[in-house]
Amino acid sequence: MSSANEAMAKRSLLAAIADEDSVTGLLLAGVGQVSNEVGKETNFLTVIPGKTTVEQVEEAFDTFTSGRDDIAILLINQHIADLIRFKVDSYTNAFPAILEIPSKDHPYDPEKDSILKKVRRLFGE
Amino acid sequence: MTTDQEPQLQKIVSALEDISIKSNDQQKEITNSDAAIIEIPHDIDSEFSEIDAKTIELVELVAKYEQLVNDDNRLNFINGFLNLSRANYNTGTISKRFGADFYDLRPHTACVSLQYKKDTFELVDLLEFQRAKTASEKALKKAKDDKKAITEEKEYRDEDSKESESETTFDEKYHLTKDSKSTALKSNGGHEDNQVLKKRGGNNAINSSEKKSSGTKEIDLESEKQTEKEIKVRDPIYQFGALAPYQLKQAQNYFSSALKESVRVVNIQNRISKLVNEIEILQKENISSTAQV
Repeated sequence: MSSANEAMAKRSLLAAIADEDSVTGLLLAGVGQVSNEVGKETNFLTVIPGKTTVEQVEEAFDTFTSGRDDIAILLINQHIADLIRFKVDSYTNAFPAILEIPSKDHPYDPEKDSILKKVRRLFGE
Repeated sequence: MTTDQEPQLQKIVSALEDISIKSNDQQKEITNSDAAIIEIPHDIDSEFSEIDAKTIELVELVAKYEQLVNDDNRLNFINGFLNLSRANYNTGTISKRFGADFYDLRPHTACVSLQYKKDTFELVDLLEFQRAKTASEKALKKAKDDKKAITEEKEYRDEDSKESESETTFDEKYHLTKDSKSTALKSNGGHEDNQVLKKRGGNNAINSSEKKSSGTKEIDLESEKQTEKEIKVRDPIYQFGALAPYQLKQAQNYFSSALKESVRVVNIQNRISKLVNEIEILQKENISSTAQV
């Protein structure tokens, strides 16, 4: 348990995979960290529709969740999570936690919220 | 314009300029009176089975979650985006949008970090810590300077009186200086304690890798100069230019509160997920026990 606590203590960062305005907002809030270490260069990915491919998003998702050990929460826009819905839904690790945030053009949709889906499944809907 | 009219004018200006959406504008589905219907008298609690109690807890949590996610969190994000767009509009040109071109890609530390205590995430604001610490350091330095001035004055006075009096004045002087030293030490020690407390808050964010990359060393509490070796966090609004419009500052405030709410949302999500798992296990147990009977 103590090793688990130590591992948890290292996880102190937030990461973000979002569109430009959302990432700007999150950087303003102080989420961004840049370092010279290989594999931990930045903790945010700006997804530009048309330029960023689904593979790049998948790669970033894998890096932030399994690759790095210093991320506690991953913030991802809901419409970008839809691109990699299979990965997000099958994600079972406790850490990092994944939170879907709304974007400017795609407001929050409770139908796509994975936690509410779980509750609905429990109550047999 | 008189000085009385100025605060009133400021109020009017801020009311007109504030374009943010308030929660009163939104339709509230869950009112406080509705929530009261779900209340259950406490004496009946003991009659509920474990699974029922957990289900009730789950339903309450889901109600709280939905309210948080639909009202507060959404509003913070909406207002943040709104103010960001306003700031972009105010800069005039399309090419100067506050966006990816402004990001500071030089190595720097994040201003917020997370601590995980008792199954919940807690957001730690390093920028606030830093500001509070610099403010307390300044206050302490000022107090020390004042003390120094007072003791020097007293010494000067004592020296004057010593010329005409006996040894008791020397002891007085000695006590005085000793007292001033001890209080200085106490205040120093207190300051160092404060440093330790604040460092504990800050240490969680400082990864060992970051220390290596920025070339800082382990904190040595014995010298005061170690404050210069700390990793400094910079307010991220500065990366958007020195004269950023005030709407950008407003957007920053909204996004900061959105981030705090998001952490609360994650905590509730974790609890809901845990409860759902526990209820599923209990359901399976019930099914298997009734099947045996």
